[in-house]
Amino acid sequence: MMKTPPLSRRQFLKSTAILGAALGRPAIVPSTVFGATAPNNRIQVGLIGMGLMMSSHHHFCLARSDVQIQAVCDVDRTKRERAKALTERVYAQKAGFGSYKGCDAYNEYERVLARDDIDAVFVITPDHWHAMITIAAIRAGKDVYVQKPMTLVPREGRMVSDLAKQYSTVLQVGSQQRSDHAFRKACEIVRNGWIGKVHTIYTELGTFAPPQTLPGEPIPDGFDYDRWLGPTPWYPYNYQRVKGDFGGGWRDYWDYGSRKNGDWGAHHFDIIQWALGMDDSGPIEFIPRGWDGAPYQSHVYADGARVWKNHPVKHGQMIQFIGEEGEVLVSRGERFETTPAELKDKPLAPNDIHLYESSSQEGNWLDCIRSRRQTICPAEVGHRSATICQLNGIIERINRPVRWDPVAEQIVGDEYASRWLDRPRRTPYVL
Amino acid sequence: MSSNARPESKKRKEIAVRFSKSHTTTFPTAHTTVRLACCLLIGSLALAPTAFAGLTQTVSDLVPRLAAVNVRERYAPEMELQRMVLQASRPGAEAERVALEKVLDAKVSDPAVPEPARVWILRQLEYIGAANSVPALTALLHNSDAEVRECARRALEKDSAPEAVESLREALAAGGDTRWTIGLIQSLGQRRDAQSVDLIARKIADPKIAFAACSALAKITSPAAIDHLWSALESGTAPAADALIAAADNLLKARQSARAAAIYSKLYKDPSSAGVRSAALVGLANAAPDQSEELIAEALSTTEPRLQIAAITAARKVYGSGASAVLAPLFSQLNDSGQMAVLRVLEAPAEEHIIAAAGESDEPVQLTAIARLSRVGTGKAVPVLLRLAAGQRSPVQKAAIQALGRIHGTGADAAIAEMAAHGESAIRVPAIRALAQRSDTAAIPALLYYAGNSAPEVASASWSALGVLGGDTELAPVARRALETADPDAESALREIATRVQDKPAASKELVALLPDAAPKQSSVVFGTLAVLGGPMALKTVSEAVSSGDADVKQAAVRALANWPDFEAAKPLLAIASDSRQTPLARILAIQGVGRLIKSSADVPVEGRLEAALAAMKQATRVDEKRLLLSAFASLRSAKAAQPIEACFTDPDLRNEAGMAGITLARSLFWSDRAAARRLLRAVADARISDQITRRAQAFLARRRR
Repeated sequence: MMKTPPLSRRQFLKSTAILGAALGRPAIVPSTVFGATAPNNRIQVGLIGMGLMMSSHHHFCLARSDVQIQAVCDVDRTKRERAKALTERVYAQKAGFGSYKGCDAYNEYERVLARDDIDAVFVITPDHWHAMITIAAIRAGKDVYVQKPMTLVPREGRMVSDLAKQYSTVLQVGSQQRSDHAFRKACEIVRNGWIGKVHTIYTELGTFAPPQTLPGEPIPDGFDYDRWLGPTPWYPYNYQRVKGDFGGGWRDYWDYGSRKNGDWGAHHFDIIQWALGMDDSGPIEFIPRGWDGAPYQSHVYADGARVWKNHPVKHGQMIQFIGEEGEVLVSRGERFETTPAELKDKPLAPNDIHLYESSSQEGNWLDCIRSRRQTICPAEVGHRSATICQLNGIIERINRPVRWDPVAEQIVGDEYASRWLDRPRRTPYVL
Repeated sequence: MSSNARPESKKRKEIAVRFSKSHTTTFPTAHTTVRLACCLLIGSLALAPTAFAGLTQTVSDLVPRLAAVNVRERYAPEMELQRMVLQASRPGAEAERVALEKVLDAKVSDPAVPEPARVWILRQLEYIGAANSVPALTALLHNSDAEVRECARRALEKDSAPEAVESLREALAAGGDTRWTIGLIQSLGQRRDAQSVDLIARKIADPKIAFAACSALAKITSPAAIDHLWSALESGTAPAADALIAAADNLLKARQSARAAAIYSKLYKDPSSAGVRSAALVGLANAAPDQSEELIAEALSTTEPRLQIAAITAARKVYGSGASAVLAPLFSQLNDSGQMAVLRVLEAPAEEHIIAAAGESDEPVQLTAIARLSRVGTGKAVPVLLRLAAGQRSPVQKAAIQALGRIHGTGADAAIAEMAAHGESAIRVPAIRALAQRSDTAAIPALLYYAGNSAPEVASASWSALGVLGGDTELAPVARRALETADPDAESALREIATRVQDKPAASKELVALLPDAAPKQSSVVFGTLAVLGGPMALKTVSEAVSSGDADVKQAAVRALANWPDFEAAKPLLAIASDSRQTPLARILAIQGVGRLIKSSADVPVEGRLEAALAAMKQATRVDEKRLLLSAFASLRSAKAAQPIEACFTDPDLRNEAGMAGITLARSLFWSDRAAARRLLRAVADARISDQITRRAQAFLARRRR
């Protein structure tokens, strides 16, 4: 066999420490293995968007000995400096040094992407920035972990998915319910037909308060508000509009997210796609609440399976699949019920469909960076799930049903609804 | 708007009826909601001058509200206007849309309309603006207010009329600051305006505009646009290479494959970026499969993993299901990352390569090969997987075991069964385990036979497999073998099977029938299994055995009762606890059993459990059992459980547990009997058991007062 010449650090990373391709665990070659010039075997990461959601990813990286945070980035100086300080403090403690200075803090994500010593980035900004940063990262040769929903509008998602495939990027979307055992098991039960043909699915996403038109407030010192807004229309600054808040904040506004559709929907619709085997496709109709007296909003797949959004779910579970021969109910925290009850513990036979196994969304991404294997939630999967969130958001606003062609990815027969599939971007933010 | 609502039209009623009869949504040209009536009203009036005036008035009334001094009050009129716009944009309502568009055009052109209102109206024109809006929007491109200009640009970008593009082009020609120029270039790119190419290309030299310009030219894709991008690449403009990839992608989507292929092919030769080369190779495979064949092999033989993955993507595109056959011969010439990339697409006909790789010394390659065998492997792969599964504990061993559970190609079942039956024990053991993993119930008779094997590891693995696979049918035969052999593995298997038995009464009957022939020392096998099954018949048999004259039988029965799954066993257990003829050990086990059942039987009425707990407490002599029973009292949501707990506050051996039990019980009582809960908490606090317990009781009392 032809063996390779000496490798660069990044080549080394991708071509050697590849344990875990089959087992889903990382392989760390002890540093003592290498000589003085040997490349570092850690994955060097940049963290972009140091808000509420980044916290768990940040701590995940800090706890991993095979990950080195090289840079943090946020348009809020306080947040990025705090993140830098935490990173350096933890690394100093780990190394047993009094201090450590090796994590840079940037206002502009472009400066993170320009660094050759960074292999991969977390993109954990509000949704309106996901596509732009992710695409720039792909083109800069970085692997990407992007929070769900992957993009704000369908056209951006198609672009991200195509580019990730073309540029051989290892991209993970943060729909972490895929890495939860109960959700995978529920999906395997549905996919293997153990509850018969699925005709109805209930899921509860909850609701946000309506958005508000807010008066302007002074922009805090050190907050780059223009960059926070990025490609979205200009509005006067108001803290309520920009704050990270699981109960509202920017999540209330259509300009920055798809409200609950992109919040919980990006998790539950994603699981439903997985269970129905529709990861490269999607529903064909979206019907708003109130249409034809419908008590809930819904979308329908070509085989007739209908997903009811915010329909109460039995036993307060998150998702309920109802088939001709049984039911599956599943939630976070390993809450998982089946009818018949024995399905829950029925093992998969060799010929059954075994879905991709992962026990950690971030861990799976790191393993795949090393092995160049596809992640559990690659761009195409993230795009298809996000599209469902976005189309639900569109019909919620235009208040009429749309027929969707999941192959051409077009709204059928509604020219003006189709305008919502993309958005004009505020200058100078260019996709 | 709702005040304008009129009775539904006949057509609308017909639609509603049709909809109510069908579960499948159809897409009529009108709404079935109340708002629909408003829209239809607007639509019908739009054709008449008076109606147009009415619409104008509606919007005019909204304008001051859209600019209300109290900014929060703007939201309602904003939504009102947006609803009008979205309703007018529905299919089949073109007259309504045009009518509303004209009204909005007039408003955005009216200098008297305040800026906040104008901006909001401009944003609505993004959704419905067409040819009629172009003049008004064009004029606003020159407005002194930058935000108004920007909104007009975006509305023109979304405006489907060709004239909109002309306006944007003229604005770019007229010049402006960098920000404005970038916006216009972006819009013209979005509209793919070939006539703007030279205007845009002139801006590439400006580093602040280069990215926008390259991005726009990539969307336009005219020959001139592509030429400018090549020039930019040659002059070192950073975004040009990615833009050329994007341009080729766009050409490919427009079915101009030859032009796209020419770009991909040239870019692939540029060694500066693995990402661009990767994208070019994947693109070329889509645009010109025949041109990419040679490059696939070349890319695979590099040391760049990203390029190797691109080669695999390209090969899948070019060769489809034949990719495996093409790539397999290259396998041995590749480095590790190349081999791993190829392994993931090899199919069963290339199994020999995968099997060989599974035996490689390089662990990452081995793991990838094993994972692949689990998907496409046949019986031929079974020996190597078993050998690896029989090895030392390692990631490879774990992967091999997992693969043996999943491999399903031709002959895999038979090969595993064969290797479970014969040969050296080290290989038979993982083969037997694989039978269980694969839920191979057809192997049960063989497993019963292997369980008698003289090699203890083979026998143990077989019992374990029987425990996984066995059901109602296997319970009796396994029980018989367990009684014969006195093998603890057999007893474990029997209990494992009992957990899954469907017909428990029948299973109990079969087990009880075995008792007469069982040696006294072996009665624990039967009683222990009956304790898993539960039920009246099993309970009766075991309860009666407590009176047996044989000490072994008696002890086995007491232990089984102490582990009984349902509360029915409390009565015989209490009888044992209160029977002075029983051994001290039996009485202790009985009290422990009662305590466990009280806590685990939440579905049994609290009175019955309380009575049992009081009776058990009476019989308990050791501190350990008393403590267990205190926690059992604490699990009963009854004020009557407080008294026995409080009685222990003064016992130096029990007071700590009693204090904690008091707090726990008070918490559970709080919502059903608040007075009793408070009284108990005060009693705990007053007992001064320890500072910590007193503080906790007081804190809970204080919190609940709030």
